[in-house]
Amino acid sequence: MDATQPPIYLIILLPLLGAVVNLVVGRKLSRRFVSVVGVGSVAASLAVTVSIIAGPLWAQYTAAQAGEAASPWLQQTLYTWIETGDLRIELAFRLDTLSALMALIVTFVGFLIHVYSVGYMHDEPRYAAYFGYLNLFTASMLVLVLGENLPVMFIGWEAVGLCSYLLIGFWFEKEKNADAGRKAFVVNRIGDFAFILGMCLLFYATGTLSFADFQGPEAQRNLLEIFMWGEPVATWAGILLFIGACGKTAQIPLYVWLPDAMAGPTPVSAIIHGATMVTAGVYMVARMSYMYASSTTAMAIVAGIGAVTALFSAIIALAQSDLKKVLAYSTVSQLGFMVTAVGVGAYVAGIFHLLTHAFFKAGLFLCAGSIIHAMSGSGDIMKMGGLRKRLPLTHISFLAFCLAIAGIFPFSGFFSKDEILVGALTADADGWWMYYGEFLWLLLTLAAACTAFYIFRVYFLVFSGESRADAATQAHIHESPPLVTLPLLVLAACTAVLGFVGIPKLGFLQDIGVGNAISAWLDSSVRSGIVPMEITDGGKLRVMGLVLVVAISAVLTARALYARGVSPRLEAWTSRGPWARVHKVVSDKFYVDELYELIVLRPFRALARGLFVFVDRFVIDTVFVAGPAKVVDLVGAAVRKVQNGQVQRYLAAILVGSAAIFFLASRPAISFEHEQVEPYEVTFEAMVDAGPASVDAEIEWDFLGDGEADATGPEVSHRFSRSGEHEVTMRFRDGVFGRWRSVSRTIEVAAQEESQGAGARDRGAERGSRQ
Amino acid sequence: MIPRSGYSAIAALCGAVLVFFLAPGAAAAAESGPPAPPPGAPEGALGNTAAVALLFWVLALATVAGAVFVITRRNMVAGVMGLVFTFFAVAVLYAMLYAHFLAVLQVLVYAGAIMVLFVFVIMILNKPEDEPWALTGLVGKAIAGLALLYFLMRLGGVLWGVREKPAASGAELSPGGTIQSGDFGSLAEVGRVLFSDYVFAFEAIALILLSAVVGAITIARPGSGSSSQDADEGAAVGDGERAPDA
Amino acid sequence: MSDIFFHITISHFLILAAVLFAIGMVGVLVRRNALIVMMSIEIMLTAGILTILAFARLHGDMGGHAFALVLIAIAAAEAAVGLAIIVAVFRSKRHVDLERLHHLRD
Repeated sequence: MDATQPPIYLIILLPLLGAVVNLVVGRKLSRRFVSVVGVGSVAASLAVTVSIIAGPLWAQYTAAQAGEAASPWLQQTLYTWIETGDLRIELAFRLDTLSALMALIVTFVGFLIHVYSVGYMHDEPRYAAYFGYLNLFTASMLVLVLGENLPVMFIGWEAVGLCSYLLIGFWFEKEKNADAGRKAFVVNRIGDFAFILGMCLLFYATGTLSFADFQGPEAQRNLLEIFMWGEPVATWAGILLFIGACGKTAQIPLYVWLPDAMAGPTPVSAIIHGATMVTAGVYMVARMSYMYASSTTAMAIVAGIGAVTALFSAIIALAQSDLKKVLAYSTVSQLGFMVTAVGVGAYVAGIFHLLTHAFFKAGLFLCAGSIIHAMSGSGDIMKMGGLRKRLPLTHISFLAFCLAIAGIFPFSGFFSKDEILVGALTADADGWWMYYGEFLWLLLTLAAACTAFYIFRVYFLVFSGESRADAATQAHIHESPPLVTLPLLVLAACTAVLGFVGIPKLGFLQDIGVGNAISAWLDSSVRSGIVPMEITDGGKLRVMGLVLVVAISAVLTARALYARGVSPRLEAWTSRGPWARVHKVVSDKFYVDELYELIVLRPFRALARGLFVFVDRFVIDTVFVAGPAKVVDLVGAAVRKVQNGQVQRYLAAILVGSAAIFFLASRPAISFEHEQVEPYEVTFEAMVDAGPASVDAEIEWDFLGDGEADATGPEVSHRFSRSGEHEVTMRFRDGVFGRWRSVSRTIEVAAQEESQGAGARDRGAERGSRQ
Repeated sequence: MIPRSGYSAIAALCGAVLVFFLAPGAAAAAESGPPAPPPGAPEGALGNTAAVALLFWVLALATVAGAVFVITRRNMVAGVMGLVFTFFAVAVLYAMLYAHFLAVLQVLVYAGAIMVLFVFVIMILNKPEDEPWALTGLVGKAIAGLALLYFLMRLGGVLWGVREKPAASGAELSPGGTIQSGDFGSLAEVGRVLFSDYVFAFEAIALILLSAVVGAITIARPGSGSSSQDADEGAAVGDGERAPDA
Repeated sequence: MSDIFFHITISHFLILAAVLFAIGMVGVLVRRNALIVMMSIEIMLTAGILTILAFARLHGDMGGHAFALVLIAIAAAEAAVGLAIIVAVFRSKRHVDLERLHHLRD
C-alpha cells in the first residue's frame, strides 16, 4: 500500500467503527454519547470523502480535463482476499468520478438523516441499536459503492440488505413489521442469487471480476465473442446481474417488498428505501456499463423493465391513501426512470436523476416523518389537510420537493427527468424494435404526468383545505424540533439548486460557456454501448416543454380535484359506476401481492408441506433416523448375547478369528495367462497373489502332462511340437508354508499363420487343484 | 506325610539342580567350537553332538511336562511349583541359545521374584477351587481348541521350514561379522545393545515398571476402589482374614 | 529321520516354544481360577521370549536379547498388576472364579 495514497478505507471504517461502538457497548452509553458517535462517525466519513475528492481526485480530474492524464480514479488495495486457482480477488476500493459522486450522496444525505434521526427517534428505547444499524448501513453502502470488484461490491450489497432487514423490522414487536422485514429479505435473496450466478458467469467468461479489468480490451473481447444460446455472454451476465438489481432496486417483478418496507422508521425509509440503498441497482448497472455496452439486448431489457415499472407504480401511487405508501410507489416509479436511463445508455442522466432523487426523495420521506409525527403517528392523507399554517417549515420544504419530483422548472427533478426523457427518445441500437426508444419515452412521459399528479394530490390533501383529523390529533399538531426541520431545509435548498449541475447540452448555452458539469464529471467512468440519435436544440426544447406542460397541467388538475379535500365529484366518480372498479383495482395495487400469493407462495407452501411430510417426516425421520436406530437395536439385541462377560470365551473368539485370518491369508490365489506369439510358441505368465508368501516362492510348469517340471519361473515361453490341445499345469510353492499348489488348463495351440492373431484360445473351464 | 504340593516342590528343586548342573554343560556343549556341520546334516544345527540333542529333548520334555502340570493341578501351590520347574528348564534352553544372561535373568526374575509373588497371593487367597475346570461355553472352547490345533500344525510346518533357509546357518553366528561367537549373548553384549541401540526400550522398561508398581499399589490397597461391592457376594469375613497391606 | 532327533536346529526351539504357547493358551481357556490363568499367561510369555531368543540366535542379532529383556520386565509388571487385581477382586468378591466374574457384560 502506497503511503501517499489517500486513505479511502477510512470513509468506510469510520461509520463501521461507529456501528461497532453503538452495537456492542451502546446500551450502556448515554443517549448523547450514542448520538455523537452515530452522527460524528458519518460526519467524519463525509469530511474524509470531501477531502479526498477535493484533493487528489480533483487534481486528477482537472489534469484529465486538460488532457494531461487518463481518466481520474484512485484505487486502494488493502490485501488479497481470496486467491484460489485463477481467481484472485483483492479487497480493494476504487474511487472514480462515479463512485465519488455516490459516496458523496451516501455520506451527505446519510449525515443529514442521522441528524434528523437524533430528533426523530428521541423516545426510542433501543436508541443505540438504531444508530448502530444506521451506521452499519452507511458503512455497508460505502463498501457497495467503493468496492473495486464485484465480490467486494457484493459484500456491501448483502450487508445493506441485512441492514434493510434489521431496520424494516426495527419495531419487530408488531408481527406486521417483522413480516415486512422478512419479505424484503426473501425477495432480495432471489435477486442476490441471480447476482451470484451473474458473477460466476462473468468470471467464467472473462476470468476476472475487477471493474478495472472489465474495461480492458481482453475482457471486452471475451464478453462479445463467447456465445451462449445464440447471444454473447454479456447478455446473460447482464440479465442475471440485472435480476439482482431488480431485487435491490425494486423493479418489476421484485418490487413488492418496497411498499411493505415502509414499516420501518421513517428516516430509515428516507435513507435506505428512498435515497441510497434502492439505487444500488442503478449504480451497479452504471458501474458495469462497460459490460452492458457489449449487449444491447440486455440494455433493452433493462430499459423496458424500468419504463414499465415507472408507469405501473406511478399509476398505483395515484390511488394510495397512506402517505408513506405513496412515497414508496413513487420511489419505485422514480427508480424505474433511472433504470430506463441506464438501460438506454444515458448513464449520466440516470446517475444525475439518482443524485437529485436522493435529495428530494429523502426530503419527502423526512417531511412525511415530520407530518406523521405531527399527526400522532397516522399516515392517512385523507385525515389530514390544512397543515400549511401549522407546519410552516415542513410545508415549505415539502413544496420544494414536490416541485422537484414533479419536474417543474427550475427544481432539480426537472433537469434530471428531462435528461432521461431525451435519452429515451433518442435511444436506438442494432436489434432493437423500431420506435423502441420512442415507446419508452412515451411510457416515461405518462409516468411523469402521473408523478406530478399523485405528488400534488398528496400535497393538497395534506397542506391545503380544512383539517379532517379528529380533535385530539388536531390539538397535538405542532412543528417538529429544529433537529428535524434543519435537515429538511438543507435538503430543500439543495433540491432547489442541484439541477443546475446538469444543465442540458444546448447549443446556445454551450456557446456562452454553460456546460453540463455532471456529464463532464461522469463521462470518464461510464461507457454507453448506444450511440444516441442526433437531436437538435429545438427537439430537446420541445421535449422539455412538453413534459413541463404535462406536469403543470397534472399539478393543476390535482389542485382542482384536491385543493379542498377530495372534491365531491371525484368522490362520486370513484365510488360508483365503471370507474369505481378501476379505482379499486389501482388502489388495491393491481392485486400483485395476491397474484404472487396465488402463483408463487401457495405452490411453494404446498411443495414445502409435501417435502416436509415426505422428505422430512418419512425419508429423514423414519428411514434415516429411526430406521438405523431400529436396525442397530435389533442387531444389538442379537449380538448382546455374545457379550456375556466371560473373558475366556472372548479369548476363544479371538483365537478362532485369528485362525480364520491365518487360513485365508495362507491360501494364495494362483492362475496363469498365456499368449501365442508364434506358431507353436506360447508364452505363459503366472498370476500369483500370495502376499508375503511370494518371497522365496517357486513356480514350476508342466507342459507335457507327464508330471515332470519342464520349466520354472513366473514368465516362461514354451515351444510345442505339435498343434492341438495341451494340458498345461502350473505349480506354485509358497515361501512361508512350503506347500505346493497347482492349477492346470487345457490350451489349444494353433499351428497356422492365420490363426496367429486369434492366439491360443481357452478350452474349458480353468481347473484348480491342490496337492 | 508329605503334602501333595510337596512332591511338586521336590520336582521344582530337581529343576533347579538341573539348571545348575546342566546349564554350564549346555553352554559348553554348544560352544564346543564351531563344528562344521556334517555333510548332509541340515543347516542350522546347533551342534552335532549327541549330548546337545539329549539335553534338548530332556529339557523339552521337562518344559512341556511342567507346563501341562501347571494347567492341570487343582492345588495352586503345586501349580506354582510346576511353573518354577518349567521356568528353570526354559532357562537352560536359553543358555543353549547362547543367551546366558537372559537365562540368569529368567531364573532371577521369573523363577525367583514372580513366583514368590504368586506364592504370596496364593497365601492371601488360600481358597481351594470348587470346580477347577471352566466348563461353560464348551462348544466355543472346543472350536477354539480346534483352531489352536490348526494353528500349531500350520505353524509347525512354517517353523520347521526355518532351518531350511540359507540364512539359517547356525555356525555363522554373526553374518555381519561384528560379533564373535564367544561374545554372543554375554552380559557385556546385552549391556552394549541395551545402552546403545535399544536405550529407548530400556527407558521404556523403567517407565513400565514404575507405572506397574504404582498401579499395583493403588489397586491392591484395601479400601480403595470397589469397597462398596464388599458385601456383594461376601461371606462374612473377619478382619483377620483380610489381606495385609501390600 | 534320525536327523530330527540328533541334529537340534532352531526349528526345534521354535516348535517347542509354539507347543508351550499352546499349552498356556489351553490353560487360559479352560481354567476357572484367575491365579492359574495368570500362571498360564506367564507360560505363554515365556514361550514368546524363547521364540525371540531362538530367532536372535538364528540371525546372530543381539537386538533379540534386548527385547527379551523388555519382555521379562513386562512380564514382571504384568504379574504385579495382575496379581494386585486378583487380590482386589478377591477382597470384594471373596472368590477369583472367572466363570462368576462377568462384569464385562454390564
